[in-house]
Amino acid sequence: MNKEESRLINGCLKGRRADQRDLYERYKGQMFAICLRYARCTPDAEDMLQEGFLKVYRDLHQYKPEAPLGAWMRRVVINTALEHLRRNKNSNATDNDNVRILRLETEEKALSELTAQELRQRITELPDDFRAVFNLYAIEGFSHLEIADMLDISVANSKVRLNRARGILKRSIAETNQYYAQ
Amino acid sequence: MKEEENLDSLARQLLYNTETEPSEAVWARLEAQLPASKKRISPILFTKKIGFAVLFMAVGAGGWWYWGSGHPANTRPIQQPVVSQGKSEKSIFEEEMNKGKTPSESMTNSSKTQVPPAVNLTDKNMDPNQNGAGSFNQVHSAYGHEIAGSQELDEVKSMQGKKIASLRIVDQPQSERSSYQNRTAVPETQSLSTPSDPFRTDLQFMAAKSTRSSIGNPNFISDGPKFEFGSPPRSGWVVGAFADLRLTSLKIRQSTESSAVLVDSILSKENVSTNYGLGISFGYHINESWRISSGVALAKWCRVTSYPVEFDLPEAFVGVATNIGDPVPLEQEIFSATGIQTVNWNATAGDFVGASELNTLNEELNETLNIEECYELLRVPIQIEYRFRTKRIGILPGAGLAYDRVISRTTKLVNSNIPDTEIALRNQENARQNFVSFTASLHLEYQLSEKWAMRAGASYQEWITPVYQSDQIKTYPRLVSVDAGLIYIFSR
Repeated sequence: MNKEESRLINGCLKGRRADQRDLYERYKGQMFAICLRYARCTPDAEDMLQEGFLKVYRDLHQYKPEAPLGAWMRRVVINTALEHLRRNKNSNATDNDNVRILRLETEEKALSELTAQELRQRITELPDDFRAVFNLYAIEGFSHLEIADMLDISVANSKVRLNRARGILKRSIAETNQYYAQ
Repeated sequence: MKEEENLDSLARQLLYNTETEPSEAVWARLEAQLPASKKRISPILFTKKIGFAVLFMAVGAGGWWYWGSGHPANTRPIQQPVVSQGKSEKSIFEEEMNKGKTPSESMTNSSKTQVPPAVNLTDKNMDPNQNGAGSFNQVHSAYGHEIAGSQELDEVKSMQGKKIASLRIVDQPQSERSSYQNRTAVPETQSLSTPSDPFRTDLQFMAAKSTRSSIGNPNFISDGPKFEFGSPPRSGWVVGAFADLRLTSLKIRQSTESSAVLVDSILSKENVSTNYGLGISFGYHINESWRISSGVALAKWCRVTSYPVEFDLPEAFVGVATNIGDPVPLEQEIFSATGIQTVNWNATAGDFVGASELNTLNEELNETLNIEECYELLRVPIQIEYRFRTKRIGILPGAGLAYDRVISRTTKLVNSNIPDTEIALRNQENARQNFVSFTASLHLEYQLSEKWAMRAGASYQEWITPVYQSDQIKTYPRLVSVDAGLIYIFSR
């Protein structure tokens, strides 16, 4: 932890708005990218980001300087995203419009950027349960045991969800490649 | 399986460290949900606040000083002069003139009343016409001539400009004393010894500057309570105790060209001194970095100064001393950076019987007069400090003002060859007792525990108001000190 981060942490602990804003500006891009992977849509991701930073400010006193601040915040935001997904599991919100928005955003990007954007797009289109497990296992690097604990499911269930997520992604990516090939 | 791992690896590679900018609305919504901000005080605004606080304290202290007893216009005498120094020979002469007497008449009458009858020197040698001009030196020379001859007059004249001391032979009661003044200083020096001269015993003033006491050294001036704080609580009160050791020097500014001689003379006698003191302080932590503090310190400061003094008793004194059985009161004025002191000496006739004995006495007396001045002081400082945070040791530069007030003072002669001597302070009715000084400091604080911390550092202190001021010189003490203390923190 460098001096600047230390200053930001102290300022946030004292409730200084300027330091809170600085911390937000420093990590918003990274955290929002995480939220986008877990969310069904951009507004949901923004809600996760907002909720996640509120928890960061609230729980910052629990942060131990031995670990990088970014990693700690990442974990807080992921937990917030998972909680958000659980809370909205039965939501009636249709994803089609939001997915279309993301797809349009993606298609506007340069071809060289499409790989990452497209992959995230495909991940976003996964069902919530599959998306969460794939993100946690493949990208974040958690074990099935940890994922099972985080999502309150069995290890076997975690493995099943991961495999299904992979299958959907492979098919989706293949379709996308076919689309661009045409 | 390998294909699945490749997908995972690709996903991690592409997405783990990606960043995507959210809309500005996110922060707006987030901010709306945050508790009210504790605004950070901008350095400029904070500086202004501190500036106003310091200004307020300075005005308050100045007002106290001006309207209090310390200001010359408001000061009442602490001690009446031991010897009436209110009339020089010239003023006596002029007074007699005002009564309608001729200069010669007044001179004759004055001589008759001033010389003890047993000596019976006046009628024999007095030549009033020689002294008709009425100037101080002429009157003085006439005394020497009528007593011992023209040779003594030449000797006295030759001594002009060499000394800044005066000697008087004083009868009892004081109102009837004769005055064998041996004023040989430059004219400016003569003016210093006149009653109206502002070069007074403002030792109080100088001492009042030093709230932290010191014992046994010249050039004193200790500092008030230091600001004893520990590692920073976020806000809250602290109290502390400290001890300090300090070195003090005097800075004298001359007001006239001629006073350079006096300044050189004084500075050659006044050396850097050491002082020590004890005190307590209390303060409030505005936040983790800034602290404002005050305190009260009671201190005793003592300063021993050695004054080389030339008595140069006139030979007329031989006649007086050998013919009078009772002790003869003498008075010696000493000029220093802090005012005028008067040494009263009861010389006995048996001490010397002739010219050789007088020379021996002069040699002994010309060694030194070691005068110890002691002051009890009250000091109220106010200071602001900033703490640079480290793990366990804090670095704290600070600055502020201090108000000092003299509670009491005493003076005595030490290690003197002169028997039966007592010291009196002159012109104390104008002695200053209230002073303001500026302080700058740098301290280190080591956290011993959550509540206790140790503090040590160095300070520089310079007086804004002079401790002594005459129409010739102004004396400003300045000091460098080191101090250490222990503090207790009430809240963190």
